[in-house]
Amino acid sequence: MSATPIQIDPADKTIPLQVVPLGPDLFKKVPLLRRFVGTRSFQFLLIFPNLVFFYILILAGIFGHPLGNVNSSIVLIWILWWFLLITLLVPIGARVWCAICPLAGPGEWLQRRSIVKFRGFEKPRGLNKRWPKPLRNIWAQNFGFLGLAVISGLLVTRPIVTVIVIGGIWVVATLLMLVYRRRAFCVYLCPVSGFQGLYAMVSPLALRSRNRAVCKDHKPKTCMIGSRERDDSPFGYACPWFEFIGDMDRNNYCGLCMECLKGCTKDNIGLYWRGGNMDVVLEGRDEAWKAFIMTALAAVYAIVLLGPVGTLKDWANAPSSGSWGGFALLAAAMVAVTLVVLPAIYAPFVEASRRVTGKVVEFRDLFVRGAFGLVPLGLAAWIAFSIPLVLVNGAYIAQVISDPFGWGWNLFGTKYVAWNPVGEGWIPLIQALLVLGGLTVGIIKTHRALEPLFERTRQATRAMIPLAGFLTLIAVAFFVVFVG
Amino acid sequence: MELLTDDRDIRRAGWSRLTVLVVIAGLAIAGTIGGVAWGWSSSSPTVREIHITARQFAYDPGIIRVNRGDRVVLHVESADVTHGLYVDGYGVQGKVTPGEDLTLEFVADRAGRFAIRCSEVCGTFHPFMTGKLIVEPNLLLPGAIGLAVGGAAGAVLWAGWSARREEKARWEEQ
Repeated sequence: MSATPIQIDPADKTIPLQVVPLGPDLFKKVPLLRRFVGTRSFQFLLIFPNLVFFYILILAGIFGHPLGNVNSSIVLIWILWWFLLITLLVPIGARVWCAICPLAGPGEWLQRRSIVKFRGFEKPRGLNKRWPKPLRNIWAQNFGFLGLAVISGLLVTRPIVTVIVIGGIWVVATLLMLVYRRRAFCVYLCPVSGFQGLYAMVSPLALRSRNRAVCKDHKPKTCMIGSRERDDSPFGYACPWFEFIGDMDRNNYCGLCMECLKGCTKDNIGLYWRGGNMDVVLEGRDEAWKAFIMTALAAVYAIVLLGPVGTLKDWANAPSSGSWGGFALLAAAMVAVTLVVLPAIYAPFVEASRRVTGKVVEFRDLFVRGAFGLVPLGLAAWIAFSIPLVLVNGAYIAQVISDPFGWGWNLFGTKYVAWNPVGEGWIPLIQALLVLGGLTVGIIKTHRALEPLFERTRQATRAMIPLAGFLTLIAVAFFVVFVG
Repeated sequence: MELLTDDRDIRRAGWSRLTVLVVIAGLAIAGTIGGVAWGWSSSSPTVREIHITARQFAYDPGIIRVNRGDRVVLHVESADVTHGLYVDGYGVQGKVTPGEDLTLEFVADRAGRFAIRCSEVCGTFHPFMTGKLIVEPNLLLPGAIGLAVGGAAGAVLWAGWSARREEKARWEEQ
């Protein structure tokens, strides 16, 4: 049998993306869903109850009991919300949290001079400036998240610190929305946004153009700049996330606000359920480093917070223990491990990968693409870290629902639910299985990410062997932390 | 660059590597599990009395190692405030106030790694006041490592095989 090799133009330096197959279009399967998300009030209906809920939590943080375990601001945010976000919302719903986030909603309403009603997209309130070009990446988010990680020992145990951080994000988001265009804060600055974008890649849910040619030929690009054209459906604002659905092929920067749907005059947008298919291409060093940061932090948190070493807990809890020197050391170690040590361990594996394939690929390209393996593996590690929080501390959730401020109320009769861990004997096994799953998916999907780099898939497989070694090494490190 | 255009070539290349990798993975699994099991079998059940000091927000010692079948007697005292001690998987639980001793006794009949947690709210870092009980042989660790090595080898082979199959289908279409 004769075969024609795939022709690759050596002069073409652009690397093609991996085409990810899309599954059924949920908008076609469930027309009611399409109608609901297409209404102007869709996002408000999600954000408003969430805003009220977070407002109560902020009040609880300010006026409630200073002990985290009996204060809803700590228990409902750092145990319940975090668990739901990292185990369900992001892995299944991609950035659906961004669509319902209460912190960005008010700023957007101010920008639009309206909460629900369409008041035109041409003249938003505020300075409407463009986000500075050098900052159009997720480095600021990387450093922001790392900054929060450094103080996480205080953040997740002290209500007032939680209030300051969340309130601070809310104030900065609102102010920046009056200075910069659309959701520049969410795209480039929000520390919670960066890792959601990264892990949204694995989500089976994907909002995409049904037919790219239609988008390409549609000169007005109403989804991107806003629309007044349609009489039979609500008008739409420009995509708050600066995306053009016509060439969007990853979940990373789509906030699922469905604004493009309202602006699309061609009914050319689908919400796809793609099953096990996922976006596999990291596009820059900022994204690769986000993967390093998240993976390393999962291990650091598991060691410091869930581990048996009292000294590390003293360092993380410096205001109580007085170990400020230890706190500084821990902070420095966190920064070093996430930004330098893990990438430095990874780099020789990338070089080995290059060498076994005859150095036909640039180191930088292989470095960035190969780092995708850390996305499923890191997410699995975060889920493994978060599961004990709920299985063990579920009783605290029931308690604070009846007494959100820790003032002794018993609103729903659950104030005195006894602390009783559930299924805690199975936690190490669950954690090991999660890491194993993350490793396997990471290897298979990284192979996918590498394929477009090489002329032959055999080369991609060969390149994958050292990278699989690296991922296995990281998985073993997680095993030692979780089950050793 | 050699092109693999025949089903048999693809299978042969895949299977030869598969054989090597599976053998390595199998040796890794067998070696680690066998080593741990041998180490464990050389010890016999005994009574293990362990003194633990609970303080905000750690146990000292933080890691306790026993063998499966051992009768474990924990003598717990508190160095500061009221603490609790709960052993995951065993359901053993008690409360200790400063100046008093708490004694907990159980037979370590389940091997593996189990967290020890404070069961009394004792301060800001209470949810993270944890220790570790390891009941040998903790086969989950070498088992997981062995599975990871074997799984990684299998994942590379599977990814390569499915990609080559797709590549072949593309050629045939062209």
